[in-house]
Amino acid sequence: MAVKDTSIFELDEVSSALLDHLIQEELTSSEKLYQALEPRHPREKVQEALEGFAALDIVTRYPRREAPARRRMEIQSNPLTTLVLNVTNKCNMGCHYCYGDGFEDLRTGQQMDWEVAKQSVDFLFQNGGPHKKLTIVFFGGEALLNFKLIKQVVPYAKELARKAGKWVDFTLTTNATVLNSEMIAFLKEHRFGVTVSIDGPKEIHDQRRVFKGGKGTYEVIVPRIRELLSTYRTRPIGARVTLTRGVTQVRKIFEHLRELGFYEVGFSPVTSESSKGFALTVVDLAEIYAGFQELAEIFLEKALKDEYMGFSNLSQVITDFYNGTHKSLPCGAGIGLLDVDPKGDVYLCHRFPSTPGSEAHKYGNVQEGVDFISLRTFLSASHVDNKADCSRCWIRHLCAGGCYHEAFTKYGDALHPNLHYCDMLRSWQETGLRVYLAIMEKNPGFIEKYLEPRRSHYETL
Amino acid sequence: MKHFKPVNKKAKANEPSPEETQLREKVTDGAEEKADVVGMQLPLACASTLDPGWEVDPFGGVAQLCQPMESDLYGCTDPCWWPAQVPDNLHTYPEWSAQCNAAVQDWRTLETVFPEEEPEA
Repeated sequence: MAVKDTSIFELDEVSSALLDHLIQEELTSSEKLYQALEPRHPREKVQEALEGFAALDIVTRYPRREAPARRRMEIQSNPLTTLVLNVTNKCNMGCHYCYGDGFEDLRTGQQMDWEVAKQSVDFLFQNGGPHKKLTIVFFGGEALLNFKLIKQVVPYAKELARKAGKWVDFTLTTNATVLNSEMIAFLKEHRFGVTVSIDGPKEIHDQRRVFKGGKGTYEVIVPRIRELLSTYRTRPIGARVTLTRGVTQVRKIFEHLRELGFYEVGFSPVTSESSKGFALTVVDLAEIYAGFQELAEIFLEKALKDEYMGFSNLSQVITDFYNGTHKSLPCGAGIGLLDVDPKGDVYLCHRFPSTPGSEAHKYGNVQEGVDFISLRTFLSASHVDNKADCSRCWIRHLCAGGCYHEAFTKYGDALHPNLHYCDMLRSWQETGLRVYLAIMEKNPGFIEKYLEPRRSHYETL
Repeated sequence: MKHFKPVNKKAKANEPSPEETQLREKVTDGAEEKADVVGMQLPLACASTLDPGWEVDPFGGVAQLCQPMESDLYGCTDPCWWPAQVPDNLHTYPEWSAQCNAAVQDWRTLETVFPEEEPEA
């Protein structure tokens, strides 16, 4: 794989012999290189292969024709594709690891009102530029605590889309505690993409996903989830698991959630200051990684038998390798996605409003407008080429330094690379590349068939 | 590219088309460019570098020096001509300049260092 642009090649005998030689031997001159390889590989062939490596920036001509200019990214415009609405900052749960610190109490919390919601939708359409497809994400707190507002927003947005000749898509993340048949019917009618937060079997889930009073939520949500999964056939439904200290049984959790009927399961390590009791330790990360490896092996086995296993983390990595994803920024936050809190204030992403000190990443509000200039300044600064720690990393254009919110919580600076995940991420990308290559070699049709269609469902977050 | 078989979309997209290849052959008259691989160049001693240092420009200021004055700070280490003490970034403080990608922009990251542990009495 060429780090320069994430292009991936299979080497033949000549180019792989040359690569081995380049790795093992000290570089002196191409003449010596040819001599060393000459007995087995003719000089012209080696020369051709060397040209190839030079074109991929894997070896460099000397002297360079032009100085390696440090790329400067100036973002001139950033039309939005996605707006996250924190329709409430209330939550009926009090998960121990919540970055919103359990969000607000049911009595004191704020609900977004219709006026703000309407202004937000207008804001999205005004700033959507040439994009034909716009996405509205309903988020909380627990978004379904303000279902009334969601019911108002959807027809309004659809009407605007119809007038503008665009398509609007809706997604929702929920803890499923208040989900009922009426809601399911509504979600179905409007083709919502639904993600449920759930941490696994009862004994694991109830450790940290509890109501405000401390009682586990598993028993309450499972019947509701079963109803959702058995009746909702519009779009595949994903489960999202937060991994915390001691909650690292990846395979067990995965199998349980697949048995429940989720199409995809995705895992996220918790975001936390290291001092918190639920923060992941190095040992936990190693266990998580081992679990990911285990699932990756099963994924590959199945893929070679032309069966799909909904392990989101791996599907994502493989899709990235397939397309040759080459990132300058870690994610779409600020570029195509912004978040609106219940008051109408606009933040970098949905995780910021409830994080202490996050005023720094507030860029205005939907009433008076957003300061796109300072937003673009932030984004330009976050280019991975500005992150010195990333400059020698082979996955820098796959990771681009990692999550802004994670960095903000851990280091107090959204631009700081997520250094605590580097080793794990590099190993994980390596696993992904290995699985990708094995699939391409033995069942090349698999990706077109199973992973490409997945994009249209999971494009949004 | 010969000896490389593309296995993802990006690699396929970057393959030169037959027309491009033909055009290149026409331009270079069939003669292919030859690449040469040699070791990197590093100045080995102060005498081998010619950075403009603390001079002023023809107008007595620093605005028009051919290199920005901030590069002096970084110039202190690798080419080692600056007559002031900088951290030993070969052995003791290898990370000292790790955050400094481009001295012009990042010179503020070149900071003072302190011994991490007190020497034993």
